Amino acid sequence: MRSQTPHWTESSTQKFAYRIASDFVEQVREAMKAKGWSQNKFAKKLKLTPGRVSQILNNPGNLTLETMAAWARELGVKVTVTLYDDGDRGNRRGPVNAEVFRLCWERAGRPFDMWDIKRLPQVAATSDAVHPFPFHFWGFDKYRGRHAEIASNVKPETTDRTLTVDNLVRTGGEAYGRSNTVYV
Amino acid sequence: MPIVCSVTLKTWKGHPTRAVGFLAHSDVSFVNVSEVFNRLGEDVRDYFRTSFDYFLEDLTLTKYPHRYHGWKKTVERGIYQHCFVFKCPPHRLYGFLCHPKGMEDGRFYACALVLHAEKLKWLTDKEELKRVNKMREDAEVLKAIRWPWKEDKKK
Repeated sequence: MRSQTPHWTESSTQKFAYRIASDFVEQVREAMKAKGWSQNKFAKKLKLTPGRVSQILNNPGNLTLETMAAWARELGVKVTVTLYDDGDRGNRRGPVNAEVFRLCWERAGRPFDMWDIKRLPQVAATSDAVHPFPFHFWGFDKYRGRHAEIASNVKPETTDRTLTVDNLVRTGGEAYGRSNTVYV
Repeated sequence: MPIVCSVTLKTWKGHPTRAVGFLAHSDVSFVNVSEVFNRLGEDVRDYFRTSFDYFLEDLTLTKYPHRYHGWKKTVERGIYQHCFVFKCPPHRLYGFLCHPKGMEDGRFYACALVLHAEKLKWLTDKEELKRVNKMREDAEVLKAIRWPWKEDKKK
């Protein structure tokens, strides 16, 4: 019989938020490494002290969505937040690492929208298999113009700049189950 | 007969390939990981807990060298190759890698953490690693490491 002990992130919303914020800062570290940036250089670009950047990297518990977005854009990448249901209602295993989402998205050919998803084989959605073909070579760029047109007509529903990962987990967690971040 | 040595799992027991546990040994004073861990600040503990999660997920154990690492075979003729450390400066949790399920499941391995130390110099204190190695060969310890999964089998 398997142990039913819940994961340590189940003890409070703050702990769950800490863990997913940790996933984010680990991805930031990777992106910095890929660019050959030191923490000092990154801090200079963000107009923060190296000490502050180091503090957040080592203790990301209070990371806000705004900070996450600023860091992602400074690194030339994007960030998203997503809800998912992994069937682990009691949270015995903890959150799925954001890297898992990023790698799956990349392996699926980096789909940009529902039009791209529609062209993906159904197998990706119904099993563990990930399609090996690079869909971005199949001419998805022809939709880019339409994306811009749609995006220009969309008005943001909220301008709540105080929204934190912690709040998001609390509200989203109650409504749907789980939340996580992915940078793309 | 009183239990001399035990292992407390700190990660999900159902994981198919990995586990992290804290060793407790009533006869050896330097085995202090459980005791010290509970005294650490909440932030430090969460940092370590996150590192334990990553240890479970990391295929090669090389993805997060700032959080944990082992020692190569080429270092000191390989005498520390089974040693492993989790880091959260200046705190260190030293332990060793082992196969608690033995021959039955050779791909399953665990990190049994033995002692806490504060590292203020760049170089590792070899004394800590020697202590870890000593525990790795202890018969009581080997028995204790197998215990959590043996209990499952009985059920």
